[in-house]
Amino acid sequence: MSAPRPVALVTGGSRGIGRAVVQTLAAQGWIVAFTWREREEEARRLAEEIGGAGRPFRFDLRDRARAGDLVREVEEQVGPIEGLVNNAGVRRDGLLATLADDGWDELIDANLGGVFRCCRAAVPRMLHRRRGSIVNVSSMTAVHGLAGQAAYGAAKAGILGLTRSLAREVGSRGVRVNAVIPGFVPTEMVADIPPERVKALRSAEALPAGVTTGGVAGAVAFLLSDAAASITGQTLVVDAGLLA
Amino acid sequence: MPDITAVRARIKTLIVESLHLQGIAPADIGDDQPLFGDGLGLDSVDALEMMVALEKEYGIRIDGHQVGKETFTSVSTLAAFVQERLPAAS
Repeated sequence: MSAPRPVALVTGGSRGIGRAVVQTLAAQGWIVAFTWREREEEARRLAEEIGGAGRPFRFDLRDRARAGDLVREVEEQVGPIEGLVNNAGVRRDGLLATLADDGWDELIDANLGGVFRCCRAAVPRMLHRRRGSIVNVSSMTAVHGLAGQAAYGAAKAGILGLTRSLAREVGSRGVRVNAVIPGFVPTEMVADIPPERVKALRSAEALPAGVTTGGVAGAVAFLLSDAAASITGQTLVVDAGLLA
Repeated sequence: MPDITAVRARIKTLIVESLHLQGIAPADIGDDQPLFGDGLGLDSVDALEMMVALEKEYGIRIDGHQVGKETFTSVSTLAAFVQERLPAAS
């Protein structure tokens, strides 16, 4: 009898990097619960595309009460969550001096608070089972400043601090927590960045092919898997050598 | 609804089994013995593990941030917390 397939929960899984993570994990034998916020049809098509391995759930990072229910629903309907990928994010640029309190609060709460709430909901169950791996998706702007991204960058840098401290909290029970910093990946989320700025951003990359969604997904899948059993509290930069 | 004595006894077993305590039998744990520190020596991560064990055992919902540390003071306080959340006997 073969072992049951492990279950992963990927937030923001219907497009971009999250979509590639869902596809990669499914191809590696995971059953993947993934969330969508606006595009139900895309999520449904992705679930069909990866056959019986995908289960879409609606989730809005900004809904403070939802993370706990989401984790419960996934565990009841799909199975015990062994891997959690906090990928969902909200990006909105604006110079710090023009940022209203509400705008700051919203970006921090969605991008950092959302990761916090998903971890808080999933961690006790992982501790109880003494098994689990979490990968938090940060951003290049956490370590390499970008004008207009003070709030987003602060939240994404906060994710790295959360990752390291949480790794210390749960390591004794066999639960690992790591982060990935994707470099510049041509997804819908960054489609509004002017081409000349993209060119400038990418000029420091060592690898001409740049970073692909699949490349980031491979790193996430590695950290989630037992191949990374000795790694926790770390940040893996997937940037085609931009920061080298 | 199980009586409080039965809940306390079950919680003692859950503590030993869920937390993989070695060399301690459920009967060795006193109703009012402190669970943390110099008492049974549990830590706050153990408390999180117990939370999930209690949810599964009694079919109740416990959110970590809504549970005060005083709830995990002893088996007695934990049993009272659980019994408050159990549905009334039909």
